[in-house]
Amino acid sequence: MSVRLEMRSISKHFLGVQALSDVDLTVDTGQILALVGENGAGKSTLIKVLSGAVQPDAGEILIDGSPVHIRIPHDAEPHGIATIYQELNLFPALSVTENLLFNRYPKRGRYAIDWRAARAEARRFLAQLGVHVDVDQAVGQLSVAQRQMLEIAKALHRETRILVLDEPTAVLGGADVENLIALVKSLRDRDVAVIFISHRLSEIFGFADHYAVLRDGRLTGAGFVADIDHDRLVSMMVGRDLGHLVKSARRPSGDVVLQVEGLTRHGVLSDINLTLHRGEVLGVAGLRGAGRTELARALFGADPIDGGRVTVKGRVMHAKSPNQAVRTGVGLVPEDRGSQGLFRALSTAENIPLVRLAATGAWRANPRADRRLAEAYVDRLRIRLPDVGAPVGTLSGGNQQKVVLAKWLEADVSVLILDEPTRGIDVGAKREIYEIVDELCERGVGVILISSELPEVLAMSDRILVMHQGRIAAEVDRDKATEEVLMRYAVGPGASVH
Amino acid sequence: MSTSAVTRSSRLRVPGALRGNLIPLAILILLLVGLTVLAPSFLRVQNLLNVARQASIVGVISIGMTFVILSGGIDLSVGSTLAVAGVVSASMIVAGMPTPLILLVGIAIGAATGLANGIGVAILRIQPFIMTLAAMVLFRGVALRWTGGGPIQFRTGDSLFDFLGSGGIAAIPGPVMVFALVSIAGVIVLRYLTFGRYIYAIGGSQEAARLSGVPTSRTAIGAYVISGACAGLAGVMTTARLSSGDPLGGNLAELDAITAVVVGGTSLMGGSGGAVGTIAGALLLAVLSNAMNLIGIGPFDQMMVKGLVIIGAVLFAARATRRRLVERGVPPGGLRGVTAPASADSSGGSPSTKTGERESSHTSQAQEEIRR
Repeated sequence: MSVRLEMRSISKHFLGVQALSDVDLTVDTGQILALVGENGAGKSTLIKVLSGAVQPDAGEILIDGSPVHIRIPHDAEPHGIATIYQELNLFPALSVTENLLFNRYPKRGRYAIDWRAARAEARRFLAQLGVHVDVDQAVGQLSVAQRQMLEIAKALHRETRILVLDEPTAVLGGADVENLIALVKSLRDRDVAVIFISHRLSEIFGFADHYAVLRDGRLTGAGFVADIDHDRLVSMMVGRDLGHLVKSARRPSGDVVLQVEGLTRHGVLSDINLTLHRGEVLGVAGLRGAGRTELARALFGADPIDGGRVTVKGRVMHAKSPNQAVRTGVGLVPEDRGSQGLFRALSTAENIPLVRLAATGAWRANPRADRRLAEAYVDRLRIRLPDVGAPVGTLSGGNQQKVVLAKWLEADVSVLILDEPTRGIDVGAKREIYEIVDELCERGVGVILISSELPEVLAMSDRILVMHQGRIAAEVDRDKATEEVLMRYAVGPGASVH
Repeated sequence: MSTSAVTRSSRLRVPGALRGNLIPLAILILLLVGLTVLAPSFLRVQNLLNVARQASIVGVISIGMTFVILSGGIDLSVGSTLAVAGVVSASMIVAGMPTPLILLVGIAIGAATGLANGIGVAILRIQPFIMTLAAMVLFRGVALRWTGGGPIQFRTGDSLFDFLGSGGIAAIPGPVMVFALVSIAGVIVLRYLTFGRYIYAIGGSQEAARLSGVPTSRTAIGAYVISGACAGLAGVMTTARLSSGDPLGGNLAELDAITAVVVGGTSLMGGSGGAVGTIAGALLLAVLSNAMNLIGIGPFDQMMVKGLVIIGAVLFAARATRRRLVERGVPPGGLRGVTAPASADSSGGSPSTKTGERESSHTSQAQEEIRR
């Protein structure tokens, strides 16, 4: 075994955020390194530095002892680096053979592709890896697990020496996970260095050799997996610093505004039960892929559900579309405000009244009144913009989010679901958004706050639900909640051995 | 960018209805001035009214088309719809039916074809281009079948019917008045009715509209119904003008209408533009052909000039829009991705993308996978 990859003192700064500071990472040949950390801890940035998608501000990368410069993703392949993301880079309409051997087909003469040889090669190579798929099948027809294995095979066929897997198991279940892990384990014999990102800590104990933990862009721990346990790993992950958050003093009433019983969406959500009171903030924590956004969308009628009952203010809601949810008084501030929350080409004055129009079913719109209305919100929420007539797309992230919130304030909903409301927003604007949430509660709105930033969930919530693999793993009272407690539930049951 | 830009709000304030439509209007005015110099006969009242009349039938269709294009769709079937409404109204006038009824039936036929298009697009999820292309062929067949192939010619003494085609009140031609009425209605609906706001919303972002509670399917269907109804009305007008119901009438009208809308500054991506621009666009095209007639440019050369003018107008408009946005701090192309998900690039190369954002986009895409 020798050192295959060495990343030294990698730092990266994005607009106001230190994404990585002074991170060192070493992977040997034939070794599997588990890279763990909370959402936003810097894992993705680190592997993007490796794959050339992001340029570090400082630091160097050595492969087999010699320094390399990876300026663009195209540079990574010649160095034998392959990164496999969750959204796979395969051509769904093309066959397994075509995908595996893309651009490297065996030729007959100069231009003609030798398809017979290509298929034979594909069959041989996949069989050798233990990947059992029909080489003539279109990739779009394969299961997610099969596609992932095909992508790994593709990387190996290109003589990959360093393979990065970004949460390959997050979307898989049961046997698929085991097959994938078996494939990854077999890479040891091929002298490939593997970096495996995962949120399922229990998995890591099953097969990884080394671990590295990132928190707030810093390396908080690294070593042999054999020397550590589940709880110590969790404690290295939590404790992110998000500036000082003051717990707000709220007094939710006893009136139930939202009751969810047995909500199920096959393969995504199972048997969700929750109660939300007037003026309460119910936090929802969990790791990416735990089903938080799916829960929000299901409650809002944006995705169909397979079972369960949603009651809003004592009335059963059969929301088959967001339009019905809005009419019933349920709102959603979606995860991706740029493409889902706003109409970027429309002005602030045109954006704000839209939900109210949809909720009340009014016939007439009044552009002049909308302008005055928008100006009032601009003052009240301290939205900074050149003119309420300017396209919303021209505003900064924090101000855009305030416009989204203004939309829902104006619609006068009784339940508002906030999905990652402060993501990518600077600290000052974050605080203002928390104030808006407090104001909503004072008005008697029940708020569901989904956030990956645990300190935010802890400070804002009256109660906290933790989700894990589509279920509610725990309900934690605000007084008993700490980051460690939440994280422990979020990563799932303790170290199970494969 | 937010605070420093506040001072700029003192700039010339443009009335809302005109916003984004200034460029085609400016081109139109320039063209008018230039023409008056080149061909003084252009300014004669009779000639101007003639131009307006030429613009009116395509203009009526274009107003309807504006709704569909703003909503993010396209309607290629308007020419055929015009023909169906045209031949049916010819048969009705031959049968001696009253003009108000004919008008109503013509518009209803158009609305029905629009309803079919709308259902195809919004409920059955057929691509607008394909759906309306199929409807274009289908309805042309219906029109030809109705007459057996040839035109239905007639003479009528009905003054109201005559008004729709070649008559008028005082010196103002009837079709021009109809165009004016439809235009006013179009501007009002787009600006002052909730439905109009919904049109812009679904054209701007289908997903954001849905998540804002906008009834997206109903709105899209409404846009096609309006487009069809306008085409139906244009069909009755055409028949009245020619005193003949021609099953081949309105051929290529869809292209003229789309041209008027686009030259008028409405984005083919949907979500921005408006009816005022379309009115200017329709007039601009009519002025252009009239001018070339007056100057003595032959019909073949006219087509070439027209093509070049369209490209020029659109380029000019796109340029100006981009400049305006850059001034406001939006990077080039910043608004173009309005309908695309913010994190569509899988390479993840954007340096301003925060770690957390990238992570979430992985999730949502992965979850899409599961859903399938």
